[in-house]
Formats: sequence, C-alpha cells, structure tokens
Amino acid sequence: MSYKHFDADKTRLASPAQPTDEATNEKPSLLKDVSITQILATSLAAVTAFVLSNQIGIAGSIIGVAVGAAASALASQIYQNVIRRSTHKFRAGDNDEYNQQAYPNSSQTTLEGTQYMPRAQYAPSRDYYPNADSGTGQSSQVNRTPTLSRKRVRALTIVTIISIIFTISAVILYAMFLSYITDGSGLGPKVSTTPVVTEKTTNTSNSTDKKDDSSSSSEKTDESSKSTDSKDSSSESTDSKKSETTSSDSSSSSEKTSDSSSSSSSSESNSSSNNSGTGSSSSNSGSNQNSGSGNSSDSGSSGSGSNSSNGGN
Amino acid sequence: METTNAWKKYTSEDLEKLQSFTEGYRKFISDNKTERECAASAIKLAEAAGYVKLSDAIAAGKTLKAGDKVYADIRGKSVIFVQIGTKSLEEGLNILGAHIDSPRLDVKQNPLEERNELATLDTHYYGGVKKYQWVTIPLAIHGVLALKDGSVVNVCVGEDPTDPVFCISDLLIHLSAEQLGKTASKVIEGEMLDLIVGNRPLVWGQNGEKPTDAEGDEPKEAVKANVINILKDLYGIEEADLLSAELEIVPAGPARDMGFDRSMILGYGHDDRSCSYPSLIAQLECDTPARTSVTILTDKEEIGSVGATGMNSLFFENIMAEVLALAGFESPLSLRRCMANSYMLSSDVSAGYDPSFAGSFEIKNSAIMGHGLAFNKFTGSGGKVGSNDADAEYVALIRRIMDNAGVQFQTAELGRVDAGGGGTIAYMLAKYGMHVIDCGVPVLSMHAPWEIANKADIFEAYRGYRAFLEFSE
Repeated sequence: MSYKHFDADKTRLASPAQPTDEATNEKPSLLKDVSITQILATSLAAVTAFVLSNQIGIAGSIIGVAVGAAASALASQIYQNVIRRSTHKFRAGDNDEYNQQAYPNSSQTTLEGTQYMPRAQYAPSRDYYPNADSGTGQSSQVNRTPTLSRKRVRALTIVTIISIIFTISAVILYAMFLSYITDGSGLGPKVSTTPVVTEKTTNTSNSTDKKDDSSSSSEKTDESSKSTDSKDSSSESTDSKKSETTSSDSSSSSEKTSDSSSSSSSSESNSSSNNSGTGSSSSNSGSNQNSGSGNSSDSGSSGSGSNSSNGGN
Repeated sequence: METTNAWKKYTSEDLEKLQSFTEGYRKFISDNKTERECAASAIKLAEAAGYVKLSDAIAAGKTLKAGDKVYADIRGKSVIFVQIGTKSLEEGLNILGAHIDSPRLDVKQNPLEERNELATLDTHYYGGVKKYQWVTIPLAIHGVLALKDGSVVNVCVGEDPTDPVFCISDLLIHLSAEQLGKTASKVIEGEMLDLIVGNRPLVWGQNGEKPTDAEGDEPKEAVKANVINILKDLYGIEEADLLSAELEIVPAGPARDMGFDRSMILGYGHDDRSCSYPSLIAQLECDTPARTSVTILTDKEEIGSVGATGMNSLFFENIMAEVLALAGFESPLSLRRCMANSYMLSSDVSAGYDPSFAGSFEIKNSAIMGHGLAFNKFTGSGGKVGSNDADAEYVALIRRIMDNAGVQFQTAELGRVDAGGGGTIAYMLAKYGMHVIDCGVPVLSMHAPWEIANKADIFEAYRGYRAFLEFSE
C-alpha cells in the first residue's frame, strides 16, 4: 500500500470541503481581508499622535503611532472574532432549520425504497421553528437574509466606532502617561524648526537681504516662526524661559501647517516680502526686516518670543 | 460483529496445506526482493504452468480459445497473466491486481564517494519509509548494471551467507544528546542514508597491481579506488557504468518464521508480495474458468503507480486489446465492454491492528492478525480522498463468493479516521467502470525493513483469490 503524505497543508489542498484559491482557479482579490476599520482607526491614531507631538516630542509621537497601530490591530481582531461568532451562531441555526424543513416527517421516504431512521425523541420539536409550516425553506431563508444583513451592518458600525475610540484612547492615554513621566518634556525634540532657522538666519541674514529676499526655505521658516508667535503668546509667556533654553517653539501643529504651506509657496512669499506688508502677516514678517511694521499689531505681542529666538534680528 | 481467528477452524489437512503454501511464500520473498526478480520468478513459474508469451502467440498467429494461457511483461518489471475462460471476453474478466515493488533505498546515479577513508554509496529512498529504520541493519544490494555495449549484468550481493553485507551507520548514543532531541522524521535525514561499502585502501602489490604509469605508493582516495577495483573484478564494470545502473538496497537475509508457534513470518516486502504471490499461485492453479481470469503484478505502486511500468500506464489496456484481438474481438468497443463488465480485487496489504499503537486504530474496523483476508471498501486519506469506494452491491457479491468458498475474511479501514492514509491501484482500474474493491493481508510494521504477516492470513488470501477467479454467475 502506497504511503500518502498527510500533513495538514496537503490534506487541505486535497480536501474538496475546503477548496483553496488554487483549487477553484480564482485569483485572490488584492483587497481581500483588508479591514476598513483597522485602516480608519490606525489613521486617526497617527493623526492623534501627530497632534500631540508638541507635548510628547517627536520620538514620543513615533512611539505613539506604534501604540495606535497595535491598539487598532487588537480592536480589529476582536471585531473579526465577534463577526465570526455571530456567523457561527447563524449557521448553526440554518442547519437545524434546514434539516427540519427537509425532513419534516420522520417516516417520509424520498427515494424509492429508502427508509429513514425515525427521528430521535430528543430532536427539537417543530415548535422551535414556526416558519417551517408556513412555507418552503427558501421563503424563510429569503425572509431572514435582510435581517441578517441589518444585524451585520449594525454590528459593523458599532465595532468600528468602538475600535476608533479604543485606538485613539490608547494613544491619548499613552501621551498622558509619557507626558507625566517626562514631566511634560516628552521624548526627543519637540516639533519646531526654529533652532535650525535661528542659526541659519544668523549666518545668512545679511546675505538674505542682499539676495533680495530669495526664496530659501530657511527664510520662509523664519518668517513663519515669527508669525506663529502671534498665535502662541500664551504658551510662550508661560514657558518662554523653557523655549529659550530648548530653542524650541511651543507652536501648535496648526501653526506648523501654516509654516509648511508658506514654504511650499515660495513664489508667493517672495512677492509678498517684496511688497513688504501687503501680503499676509505670516509670510512677510521675518524675511524683511522692515516688514515688522507691516505686520499687524497682533504679531507684535508675540514678538518677544520670536525675537528671543531670532536673536540675530 | 466479531470475526474469529482463522487458525481455530483448520483441520490437520488444512494446516498441512497452509504450511506448504506459506513455506513456498517464505522462500519466494527471500529469493525475490525487487520487482525485476519477482517478475522473472513469476514468469518462470507461469511458463512451467503452461503460459506462453503473448508476443510469441501473436507472432505465431494463434487464436486464443478457452483454457489458453498467455502472459506479457513490460521492461521485466510488470507482468500480466491471462487465462481465457469459457465465456465471451465481452462478458468481462475476473482480475487480481497486486504490486511487486516494495519500499527500499535506491542507489543514486553518481553514488560512490570516499570520506575519511570510508567508501559509501549515496542513496535515495523509494516509497514511504521511516528513514531511521534503515540504519544499523545488514543490507544487500540487488539490481542490474546496464553497460554501453547493451549487455545487462545482474547484481545480488548480501544474500548468500558467505556474502558480505552493507550497512548505514547511526550516531552512537553517547554523543546523541542533540540528535535525540529531534523529531523522528529528522533524526535520520535522506542525505544521511549513505551505505558504507568499504574501509580498506588499495595498496599496489597487496590488493591490486600497480599500473605502469602510476606514481607513489597508493592512489588518491585509495578506499574508493579499492571498491572500484573489486567491482571491476566481480562484474567487469568501471565507475562510470554506475550511471546506467538500477541498484536497490534491501534488508539482507531470508524471511524467517516468527514466534514460538511459528504462526507469523518476518520478512522484507510483505507489502505487497503477501498478496502478489497468492494471486500468482491462484492464477496458475486455476482450472479453465468460466470468466477469463487475469492477474496483474505491477510496478511503481509505492511511488504512485507512475511511469511505463506503473498501473497508470496503458500497459494493461494495450495487453487486453491484444488478447481480445487474438480471441477474435478486434473492435475497440469489445475492449470497453470487456473492461466495464469486469470484476477486480485490488490486492494490497492492510494495516494490521497493533495493540502497542492502539490509539492509531479503531478496533471494530481494524484488520486483526490471523482473522483472514481483509477487505477495505475504501482507502485514501483526509475523508477518503484518492480512494476507490466500492459500491455496496459489489461488497455483497464478494461476501457471497467468500462465504460460499469458506474463506475466512474480515473488513477493515486503514487505521483511525484522519490518522493518516494510504492508496492502492484500485481507482486506476475503476475508471473503466469495472467493479473494484481493495483487499489484502494484514501486516504489522508496514513499510519497515522487516514486516510481520500471519501465515493464516496469507493462506486465506490465496483461498479467497482462487475462489474469486473461479467465480461466475
């Protein structure tokens, strides 16, 4: 008798009960098993970590993203298990109901000469299946299918919301914990380009003027750092000393966003700097020393912070 | 339903027949350990019983009639024996099918090497084997060396008591701390199955004449050179001739009676010679049957019945077409009718119930040693996959045939559900539409170098096969 390998993989391949993609010649979908819930939760966790980066630092923010991803994966798996369990319950119900409908009468013979074993006493009575008498198995199946779908959609919605809340909560809790153990300083440098700009500005401030407000990114960043001062006066006033020593701004992410937007539109900032004050306060103020006057008085209030870091000016 | 032990019913006359038959079997499997040797011996026995070669019958323009006996072989590895019955061939055949290849180690094409003054032959195992079973036992080399001039040299070393034997080494227990931590499938791996064939260097003038152009006192790889020198003396071959060799490594020595009561036989190749030998003898002893009787002894079953000599080839179909043509049925339709109306016993060993491994069996549906011929309605694995599942009507017919002949039989499965699996040639014949069921002799330690079979089961197999061949409705 020839020996047959019977390791699990080969058995599965050979088993008609568990056809694989290869067996059915179907190409697996590229998006098969992609979890929308997980993608959404992970994305929001990353955003949350980024938003909190000025509290927990860049390194803390990176770890925060990892924490969020892990929490998201956990939540997603729990979600899948919940769906699987509920599906299993439904299927069990299907089988019982199908059997009852296929063989409603224990003495029934469908094939000529075939004798069925009488139904056992412990078999569930038909009272458990009120739909069985009302029609064929198909009709009851049709009736139930929308109910199943609604339940699954509701379950999907609930679990998605829970997953997102769970994930973001994990990131926030992590941020609070990190902030607590680091006494608010976070891990690594906090998000700010000011120190780099400061040195460069110091070295190149004259040349910048000579270059007629060229569109170097350092200048633009410097400009924006001034402009952000106006919005962060409160944080600077409470922690101006710290800002000086760490050479970092406590600018928020929204401010950083405006920084990057200004730097990305270099031509705009150039033209506005040439016009010294005709442009927006955020883009003109730093690069042109005269532009200070062009800025609104709001920026003046934040000037202390900006000036302290932009000592060269 | 319980079956009884076959030994209980035997009369002294039965016991005498049993002893005579099983002694013939013991000798057969001791002398024939490869498919080539089995085929050659079977042909010799058949010719003594009046069988003629089919090609000779064709060449002579002979018309086959009831009682005529022909045989055909392919490459000397598979053989088919046919005895024409009194009924029309279109009414079908009674077919016995068994295989004559057994699990073994085959020598690689470029096998010879020397490592640290040990000369070895590299091997590649054939069929399903537990590799660790093949170390530290005496082994013999059987096979052929085909030379470029067209001649073929038969090789058999290790069977005569005066012959040397060969061996594969194992690691001593003292240094086996790491090895013993491995799983059984990794303890001895395929590439470790190197047959030790020499440990003595060639020394010019001592065990070899120094060639005139040789330098120094001894050649490089002197041990290997010495082995080549001996092969040249024995068989007149060079190392390169091993490229066209079929050398099979099998356990050395004869099959032996086993047990104080001598009720069993310990031997190599019970799988499937415990079925092929009874099938052959039943075929040769069968008087002119009503339905044409056919016995197939096939090769390559252990590796999936592939190749020209395996059951998956067209050998059987082609031979039956020739037989039908010689008998006056030249229409292709006659062949189809003949096949579809046939009955077959696919004869292969069954897993004997082993109380030492009771967890791998389900006792009610296991083949019990000594309880007779075991019928397997199906084999396969993982939910009967790859199995021929005989229909109930055919099983009923088999019961009737066996009961009418007083044959002790039992029914069995191959162990517990999902414990593993195995296959036979049954489904390959079933594709013609014929009725096929698996049956065979229960065996312990199947596929081990030395397997165990009960004499009563082998004898009952012979009686059952003969009853089947002589059956006609």
